[in-house]
Amino acid sequence: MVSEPLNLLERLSGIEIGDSAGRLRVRSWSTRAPVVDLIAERLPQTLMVVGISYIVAILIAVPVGVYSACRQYSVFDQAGTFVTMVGFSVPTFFTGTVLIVVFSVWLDWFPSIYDTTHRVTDLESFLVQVRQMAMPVMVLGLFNAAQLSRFTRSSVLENLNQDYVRTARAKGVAERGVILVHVLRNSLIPVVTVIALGLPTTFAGAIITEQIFRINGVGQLLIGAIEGGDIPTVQTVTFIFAVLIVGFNLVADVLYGVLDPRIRYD
Amino acid sequence: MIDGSTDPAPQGPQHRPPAQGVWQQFRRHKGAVAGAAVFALTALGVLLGAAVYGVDPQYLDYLSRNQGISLAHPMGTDNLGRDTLARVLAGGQISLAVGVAAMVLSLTLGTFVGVMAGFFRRLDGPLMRFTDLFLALPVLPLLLVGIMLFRDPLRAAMGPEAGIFILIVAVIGLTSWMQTARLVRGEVLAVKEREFVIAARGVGAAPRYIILRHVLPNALSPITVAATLGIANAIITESALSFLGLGFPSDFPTWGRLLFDGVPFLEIAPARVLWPGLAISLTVLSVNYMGDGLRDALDPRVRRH
Repeated sequence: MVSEPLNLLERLSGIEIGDSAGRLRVRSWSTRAPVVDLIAERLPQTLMVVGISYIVAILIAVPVGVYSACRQYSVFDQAGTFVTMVGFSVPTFFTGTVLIVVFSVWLDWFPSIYDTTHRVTDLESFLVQVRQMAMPVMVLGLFNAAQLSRFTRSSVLENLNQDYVRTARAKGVAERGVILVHVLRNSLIPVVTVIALGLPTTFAGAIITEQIFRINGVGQLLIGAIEGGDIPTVQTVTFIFAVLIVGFNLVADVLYGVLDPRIRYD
Repeated sequence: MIDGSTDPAPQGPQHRPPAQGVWQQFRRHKGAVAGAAVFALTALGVLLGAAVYGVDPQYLDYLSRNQGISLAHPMGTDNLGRDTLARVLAGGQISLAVGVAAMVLSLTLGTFVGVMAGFFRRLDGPLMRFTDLFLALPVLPLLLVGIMLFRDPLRAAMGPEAGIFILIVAVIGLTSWMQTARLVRGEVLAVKEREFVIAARGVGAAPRYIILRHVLPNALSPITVAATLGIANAIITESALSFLGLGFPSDFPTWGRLLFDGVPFLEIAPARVLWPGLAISLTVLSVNYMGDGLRDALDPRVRRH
């Protein structure tokens, strides 16, 4: 419990604290390597895929949610509701395998296995990286976008009936300005908290996506450790998940107060 | 309530719709009706289909391995020549059984916690903090670790099939009751202040009697909605576990397990993955639509217009 944070501190600051060579480390039972090093090796892959997919999800979800709220019960709204319902109900492991069947078996556009050793050096290798990331990001991104856009839609709908919207319209603000400046800012407050709360869950959700596309990330480390009965690794990874969740819960709470000055924690 | 007004309490928004009104409202939601129909068909097909179709899902036919769609095998065969349709039907029985059993467990737990927290003020704080604690947990890693810890002892105690069934139902039920508890608590808090409950308390009815006789029947609508969504959630979670290879064993397949077993043969027989995946997705989608419709039908605020 104490040694690993101490190691981290030492590496960051460069100052040797106590007997650093003789300190006990949490070692994996299967690879004999310190668990923290294993996680550090795999973290970039997970962060890359999860992070980009989350950005994609936000970029899709917010405009779709806002637009379908502004045109409630229109064709776009109905279609959007149906698509989000499907995106929400179809499990990621099924969308993932379907994408593999369509795009790598039939069309042969994207590789079905993620190559972790691939290094981006020039434009061509960058394109390879984009291609191998396309499917996992799409799977995770669509799933998250479905949830987020439902949430954005209901949040915008709630705000559209508020008095300040009527005031803004009465002042003569163009509809575009009403939506983008007044409504969007207010309705994104709960959405931001949902995003913050959802980030740790996405790490957990990435377990499945990593399994489908054989991404060598933290989720796969956990699965492998569980299958191999490698208890130190399981404990460390779950502990990190727990810390992430507590951390992001705190971030969400603080962010809520910062974004909405009406909320005070005294 | 000392404002001295003689008007009766406004009944409008709180008035419970009679069952018929709910049904009419439900019928107006097209997606919900379609969802209910699809779900009923799936359940019927899975329950009766295995008997009607009459092909043994475990029968090995090495001469017809990895076949596509044909008259003899409407969904093709797997790498051991087993009929995929028969396996999907058999797997559906287990998937639905897990879904329903886990839903019942999580509903019972959630309703119990919700009623206790809503009805007894002293329990409210601790129980809701406990619920928040569970809500903050990441479900999937927790499930995985739970299965890692308890799989082998339960298998040894109850046999591979019953053991894993009980384990999966238990872990899903124990990690999905929080939403129900919150909804039920909110409803109980509202019902508790209604006149008939106060009257019942006034004539000296025991809390147990009030809860069972007055509070629970009036809190049924969030429970029903939570029940439908609970089935969907349980089916998805179970298939995710099976997909990670930590669910049911391969000779006792569920839809998720069939999908998982089909993935290595993706390039030879993509149909093997598509059928169970479609079955999961359709069932979950139909249940979700049903839940949506039920929520609209039971929510008095939506009902008025």
